[in-house]
Amino acid sequence: LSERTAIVVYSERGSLLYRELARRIHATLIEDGSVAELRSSLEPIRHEEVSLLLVIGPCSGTKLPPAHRRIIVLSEALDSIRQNGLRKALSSFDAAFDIGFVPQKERYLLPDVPYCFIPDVPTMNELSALARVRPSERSLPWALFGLHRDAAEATLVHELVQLDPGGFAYMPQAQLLRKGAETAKPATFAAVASKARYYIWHCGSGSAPCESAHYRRALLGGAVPCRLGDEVLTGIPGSYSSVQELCAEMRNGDPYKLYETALNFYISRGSLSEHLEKALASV
Amino acid sequence: VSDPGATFRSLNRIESGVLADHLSSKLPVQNKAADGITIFTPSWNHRLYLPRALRSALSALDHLAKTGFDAEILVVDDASRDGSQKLLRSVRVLYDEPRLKVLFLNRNLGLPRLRNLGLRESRFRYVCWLDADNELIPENLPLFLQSIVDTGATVVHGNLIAKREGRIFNLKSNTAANMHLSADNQIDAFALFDTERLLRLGGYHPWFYSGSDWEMILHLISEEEKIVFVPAVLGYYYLNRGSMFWEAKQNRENLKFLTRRMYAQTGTREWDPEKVGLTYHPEVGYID
Repeated sequence: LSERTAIVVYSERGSLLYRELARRIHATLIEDGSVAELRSSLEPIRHEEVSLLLVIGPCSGTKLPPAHRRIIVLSEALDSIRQNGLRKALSSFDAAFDIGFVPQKERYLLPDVPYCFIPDVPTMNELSALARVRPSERSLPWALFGLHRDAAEATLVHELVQLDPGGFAYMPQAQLLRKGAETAKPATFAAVASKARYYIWHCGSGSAPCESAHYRRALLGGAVPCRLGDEVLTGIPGSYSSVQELCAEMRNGDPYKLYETALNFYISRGSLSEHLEKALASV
Repeated sequence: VSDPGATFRSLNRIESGVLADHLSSKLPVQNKAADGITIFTPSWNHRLYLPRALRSALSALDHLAKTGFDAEILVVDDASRDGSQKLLRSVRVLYDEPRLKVLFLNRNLGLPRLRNLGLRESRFRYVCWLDADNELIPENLPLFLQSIVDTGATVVHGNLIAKREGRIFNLKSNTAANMHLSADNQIDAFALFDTERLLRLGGYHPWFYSGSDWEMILHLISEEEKIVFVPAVLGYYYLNRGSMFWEAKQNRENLKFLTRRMYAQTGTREWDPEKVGLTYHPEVGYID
């Protein structure tokens, strides 16, 4: 990486979570000694300076400069509808990097653009920060983030209230949010994670964009990460398929042990720079 | 309209007149105690549901006391015909709780005027509207009271878990006030209000009856009052046949037409979507 000049571009109008991911990737390249710059899609980029262009998230409508290699970095559920929407945007790239917890190769439908999975693991800075986290007493028994669509989400809130009423429930109406908008800003998630014992995000039948970001934020804040979705992510501690299963764990489990298990899993898979290095070498 | 404020000033005078007609000749009460809350329960023919609401309110008194807040429960029976009065007298004797006050009206006032009565008669500056068929989560009322004190908001609302026929149905009041309020109400009256501000703005308008809570929220937005969503659960909202919800549903289209026309003329379309409602939690501060 050290010999490359990379430009990391994020969409000015896009998701804040993707913007956060762009900052992490930029930090990773710098940690590795690369010459790397972080640019918004609105900033002009001189053509001659680009040898590697990493576009973080969909940047539709953005005029991107030519580069030696152009890679798009995604962190969301690659279902067929989403991919059809992205098809045109993806076709102008040399590769698509998918950052997350679970590879989605079998769902990937664009054979012309090589797919590469990168596990979402901590940067070197995040590893140091995680080593300093000491989960302590928490003022919020639980914090829940997600979108409210139907009775299932209301039942989830009810079950958590029955367990302990004093939780933080942030479940705005799905139809009231702008398409693709986040429920809250990354700073809010982080502030809540630093107060909550359990940090729960509800992703329903799909996966939320940059879902692994919730896991990282929970751990950095000292909270136990809990993912609630229809599908259990095998091998990932803190993944639950039903509210009953989640509540049973919260009722009977030791939050300090659960935190430790999740932390050990998260830091055991190496650093983001190792995985990014490998991925860049493979395309 | 060259001066939208003039429309509102004029409207306020009309509303103050309505209050004076139906309540008393006193001027709006000011300087109420700000260190506590009045849980106000208007009731008309809700004998069956009252015990559930009152049990939650009585428990909330204890939780408020533990956190250093004073409180009272004010129940006003709006000339019920189902024997609610007998039940309320029994409850008063059974609990022997001086903070539980019950008023009986001889003549039915209807919900908006009953709420206006609550605004005037509450001992405390802050009031929580607990309709007779709803239920508070007692442990959480101190958090909501702390939020209205911290933010100086006129309204603080939180998640309500709606139940219909014994089943969880959906969440209500669960999103910060936004532009969609001009199309339909998303903030139920089951929330905390600053009585002084509401009285100054003329209280609830009696014309709107079951839609008076929506009209009040639109009125507050137009007056640039602070509306704060707290991401915690305030209580359970029950959708019962024959309740205000069903009546409101029947009249929804008429109500929408009236309300939209009124507020479209007085600036609603110019709301700044980013500033209509705020989100706050005492443990985290303002959230965006």
